Amino acid sequence: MQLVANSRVGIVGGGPSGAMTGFFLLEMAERLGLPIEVDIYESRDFTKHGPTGCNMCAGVVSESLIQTLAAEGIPLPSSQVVQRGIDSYVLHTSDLPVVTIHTPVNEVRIAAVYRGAGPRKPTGEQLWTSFDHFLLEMARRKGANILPMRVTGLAWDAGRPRVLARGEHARTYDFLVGAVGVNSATLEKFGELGFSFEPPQVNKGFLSEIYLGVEQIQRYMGSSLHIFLLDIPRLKFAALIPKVEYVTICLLGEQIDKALIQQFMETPEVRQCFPPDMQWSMADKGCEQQPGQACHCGPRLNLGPAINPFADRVAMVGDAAVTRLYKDGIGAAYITAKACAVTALFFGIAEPDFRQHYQPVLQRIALDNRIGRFIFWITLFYQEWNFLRRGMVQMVKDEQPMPGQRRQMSRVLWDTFTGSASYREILFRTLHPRFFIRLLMATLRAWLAHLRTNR
Amino acid sequence: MKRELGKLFKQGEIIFRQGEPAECMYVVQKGEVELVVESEYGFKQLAVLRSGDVFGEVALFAEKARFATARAVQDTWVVTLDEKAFVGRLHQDPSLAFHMIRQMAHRIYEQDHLLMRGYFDEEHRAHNVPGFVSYIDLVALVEKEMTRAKRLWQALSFAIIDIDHFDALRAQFGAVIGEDLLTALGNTIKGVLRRQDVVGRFGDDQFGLLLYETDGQAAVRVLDKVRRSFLNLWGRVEHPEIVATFSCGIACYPDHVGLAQLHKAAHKALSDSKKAGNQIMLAPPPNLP
Repeated sequence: MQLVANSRVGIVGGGPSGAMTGFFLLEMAERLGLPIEVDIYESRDFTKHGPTGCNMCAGVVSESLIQTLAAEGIPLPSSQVVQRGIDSYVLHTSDLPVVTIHTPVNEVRIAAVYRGAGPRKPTGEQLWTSFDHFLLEMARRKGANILPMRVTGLAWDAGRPRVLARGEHARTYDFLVGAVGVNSATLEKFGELGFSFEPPQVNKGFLSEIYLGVEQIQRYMGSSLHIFLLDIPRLKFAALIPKVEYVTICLLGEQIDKALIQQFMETPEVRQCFPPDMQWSMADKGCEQQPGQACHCGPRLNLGPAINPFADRVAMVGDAAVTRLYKDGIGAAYITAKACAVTALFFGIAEPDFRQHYQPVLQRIALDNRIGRFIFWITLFYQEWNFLRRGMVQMVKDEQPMPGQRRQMSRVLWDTFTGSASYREILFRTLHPRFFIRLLMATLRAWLAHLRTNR
Repeated sequence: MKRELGKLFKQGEIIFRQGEPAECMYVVQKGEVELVVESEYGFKQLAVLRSGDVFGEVALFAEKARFATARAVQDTWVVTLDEKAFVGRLHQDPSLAFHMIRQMAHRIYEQDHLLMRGYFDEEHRAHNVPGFVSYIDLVALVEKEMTRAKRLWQALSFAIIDIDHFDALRAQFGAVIGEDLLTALGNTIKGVLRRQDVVGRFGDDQFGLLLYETDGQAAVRVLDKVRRSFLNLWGRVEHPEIVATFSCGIACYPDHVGLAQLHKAAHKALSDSKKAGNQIMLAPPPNLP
């Protein structure tokens, strides 16, 4: 089974993974001189403000993805798509002073973006467009047809997948790509296609957009990612991501509920990141132009990989297949989209082709996530134990005068929280004896100093 | 507010200098960068790079030192790709290199082209024969005259003449006869052509003709006259015992617009006429089969 001249490819879902699969399929087919037809089904309009145009994501494009896209010749149009270039992050830990860590190479390589067009229209002169819209436009310019239809069903038509959409639309394809993420009901439709696909296990996170205005954001957040290691049970990861006029709150953990969110928002470490007069409540303010929550959502997050995300003439990409643990989902979308396109064009679209060439890529990400889970398990201890936190903060402080490459702890933290390196690489770095000894010394010193001041 | 990605280099600032050790490559995010080679003779600009262009990659693959200096033409944002991370990614996904390879190939093509021009320039000026213009001069003249012809709505023909089996003849009868042959043909051409037409001599045995205000059909008639008169001179008067003929390819403006097209068409017609043997061929307009 191969894609041949004039083959038709259907992609369900026009988020990053769908748009990039379409783009790379067309781009590589062009290199091969193979004319193919690509349809992308996406019912959302990413140029619309508010929840209707949004894809529910914290919206951080990692360092590695920025670099890889640059090498592909796809620079992000900075002043439109990029909400803010992130050049540092601020680590907030319970009852310890904050630590600011700057990028190791003194360069802005992380982008905060909006997946939709943002909670509402820009109020100032700074305009923006959506990241997903940018990618979808890129696919359209390569020659993809964007069909603004909601997919209602999937079926087989003489051994070929058939897509049914609203308005009695039905079309048969030679190859079908599922790029539906984990938040869409269409995901289950792929289960109905009868191959042994099992969607990934999911968990709910919490995202909220808070309006502060350009000046307040600059004053309280700057161009830093704010990361919290707080002693709150069930909370695994918390971050504030500054955008142009809004700040995104991202909470990950087990069973995030209203009480947990309330507890997080009321800790002094979080309060000090916001203007004192800001009143936060779970109720969305909608369109009012004053500080407060504009919208919130509880997107699903992958906990593990999907099982059998491919069959003859069908493959899943992005979140619906596998993603990186807690971060860099867009990076994983890029990797899976490209691997899927390469397999389909250069090897074939039968199940064994995907098993041989696509599966290893998915497995590499899944394996790395296991290591990541271990790393996050360790950070739980750091959240819980004060002396460990002190040691870590001490080590970061000690490192600041050193040149970028030698700030070991800073780099480990940077890579863990920004998704810039694989978890495997991070683990290997922390296993280095020098790192271990330094951390031990720093912990001892910090703890002794703490005892002395207490006495 | 920071909305740009990468590192800012102000206008005129040096990104890296020729000869410096290389540890990373760059991609232009926004702005313009020029690559300049410095030598004892001064500066020479190699390329101007814009958003999405990769530079500094040569040093990663070949030398460990920069072969040129990169300078920001205006305020420019540049994303760096460090060597180790990039090579690692390249092994996971080799197709990542495609964009870069395409750019490198493009650059090599352009530089080769420049180099060849320079090479031919020297080569043909060195073999200058009095009374005939050199290849480079002829091509430059054709280019110039084409713009004039365009402006005045006039036709213009470019012909290339090549003596059949010249090497074999020279090997059989000696270099003196070879030179005789060339002189006879050169004189014949000059005798037949109008004074304002230009004749160039290049390669070992080729002549290039630029005929003003002459369309394709007229050029064929002129070249036919050249052939008859050459047969007369060479075959009857000079060396009746040696049979020598020539092939000719003609291309004319406005059938072929643009120097490269005209040139290519003339060469194509010449090779066709060679295949047919001792013919004068006019290149058909490009849209006709």
